[in-house]
Amino acid sequence: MTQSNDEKPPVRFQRANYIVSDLDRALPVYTEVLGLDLVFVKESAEDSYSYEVFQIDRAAKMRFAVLGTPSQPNCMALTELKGTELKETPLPSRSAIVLECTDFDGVMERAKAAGLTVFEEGSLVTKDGRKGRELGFLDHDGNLIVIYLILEHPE
Amino acid sequence: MRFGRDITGAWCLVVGVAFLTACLFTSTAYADDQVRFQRSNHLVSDLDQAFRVYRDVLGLNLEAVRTLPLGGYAYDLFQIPATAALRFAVFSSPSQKNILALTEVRGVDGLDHHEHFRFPRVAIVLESPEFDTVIRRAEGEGLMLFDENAFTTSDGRPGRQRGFHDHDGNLIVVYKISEETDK
Repeated sequence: MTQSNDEKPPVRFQRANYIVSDLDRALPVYTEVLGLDLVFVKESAEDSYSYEVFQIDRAAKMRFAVLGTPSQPNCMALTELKGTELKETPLPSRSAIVLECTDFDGVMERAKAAGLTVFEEGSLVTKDGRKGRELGFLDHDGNLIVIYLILEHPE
Repeated sequence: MRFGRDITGAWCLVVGVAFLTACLFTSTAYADDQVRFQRSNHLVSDLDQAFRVYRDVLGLNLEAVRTLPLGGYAYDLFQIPATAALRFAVFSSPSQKNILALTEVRGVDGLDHHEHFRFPRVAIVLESPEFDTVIRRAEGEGLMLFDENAFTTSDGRPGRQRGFHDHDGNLIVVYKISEETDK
């Protein structure tokens, strides 16, 4: 099954959704450290589809938070699981979210101050020649977050 | 001469106002875009196999594929053994440049996908008006699909959604808002 890019049906990326063990602990990472806007939080219904697709024990309680940026509403979500054991994130990490942050140093300082695991900063060179800085850190549940800042654009 | 000075003064005023307006709008845009979601990135074991899911089933546009340098930053971030070989692919949707990436990990023994299949910790959610086509293609690719589910958005719009795994257990949920409520 192969297609050219011109034959595709339209599709739009809506959001990434991370599982967390404690929403009250996770939200400050995404709002205060990263600067995302909290759109809403709700208790998930007992028949929520998340039970099925995440294969969560029905005895667990779930809450769902949606976050966004001014120009990207609802681009990120967190699903809190309570009442079931959330196993340690297996390595290697299977996913990352990548965000461009103009306040790169501020995010880094706030991540460290929040006691998160922060990796050494890396140098970024994009495929089109832009240069910048990038930094990865883990939220309290081991979910990988990468921020970057472009400093130089090629002529 | 006086007319000339008036004209010069008027131009200075126009340029000054334009400059201040530009500064105002620039600083407002800067403030609004302190953070921007660029993409989600997922590990896969076989990029060519994954293309059939993300490009052919979902309909994302494949923008670029490249080999990542040995020992590069991705090894640190994902905590990938240094013996692995990595390739990186990035995809766009018609309105979202480079919104999704896949990182292929090769040459790692014991990269066990079983637990990941059973307890995914991450989902990506995509809207597709061609919902039925996507599902038909996912079935044709032999992917593991969950039952379809009807849902209502937080603002009251009804829709359909269905989840499936790519070949590495990464969870993908596709949805469509009912056309009646779109109008």
